Amino acid sequence: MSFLQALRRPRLSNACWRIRTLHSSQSRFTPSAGDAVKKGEASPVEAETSAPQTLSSCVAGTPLEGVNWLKNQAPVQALPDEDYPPWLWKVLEPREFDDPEKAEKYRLRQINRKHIREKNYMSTQ
Amino acid sequence: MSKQQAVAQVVRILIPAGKAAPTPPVGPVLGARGVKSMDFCREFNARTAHIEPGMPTPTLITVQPDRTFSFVIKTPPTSYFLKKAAGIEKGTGKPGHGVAGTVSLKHIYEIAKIKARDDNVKHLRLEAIARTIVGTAKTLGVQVVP
Repeated sequence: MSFLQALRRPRLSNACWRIRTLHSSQSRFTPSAGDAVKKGEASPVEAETSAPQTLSSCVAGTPLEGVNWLKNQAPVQALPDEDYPPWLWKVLEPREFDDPEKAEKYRLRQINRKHIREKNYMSTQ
Repeated sequence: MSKQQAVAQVVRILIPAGKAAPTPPVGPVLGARGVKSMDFCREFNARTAHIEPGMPTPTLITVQPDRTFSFVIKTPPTSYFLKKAAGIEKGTGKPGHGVAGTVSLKHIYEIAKIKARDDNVKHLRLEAIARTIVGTAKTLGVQVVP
């Protein structure tokens, strides 16, 4: 397949915008900086959906359970949203590719794997 | 038949950190392969001294034909971390149907940082590791909330 053929395909960025608008219709949570340490559930707060920053429901300072695995480790606390890398907020969404050839490779690999799984299942029937 | 060649045997087992004892399940598994379980337990407990006691630690024990052994220690299972973070004992019996617990993206980030210490994921970006953990959460029935 040629590079030009790949360029002519519909841009993945359209799909990304569609996903973004889906998310904006749901309620968003704001972090309140400098919050006192809260035990138990963090209280969600409605925020304007036009904010460019992605927001987390986990307020800064909430103790994170289950992450202490070293002996005598101080309880891990949630940091403010800015301290986390930007890719973290996109981890729940499907992967986006800048390179159309990489996107095609990923898409084909998914299709091939699905086909293999179906074929294996059918061979047991 | 060709001449019998002695082969190294591999044992995969989940042992609570710092609490290896000659009793089952560790004892019989090693004893069957000719390894002195007391030696193994002493060495294992020494190597897992920095880990919170009781944490299930997957170990891969290689027993040579001359009964010497070496073992590799890995980070606790992802499902264990997720269940603790969500506060549940067991995952759902029907993955994809129903939610057993909820976990935040910040939990996922912290768990990914721990799992990144494993040798088999050293070549992956932290983002890729985080995505695999989200996949594990999906099979557990643990919902990941931003």
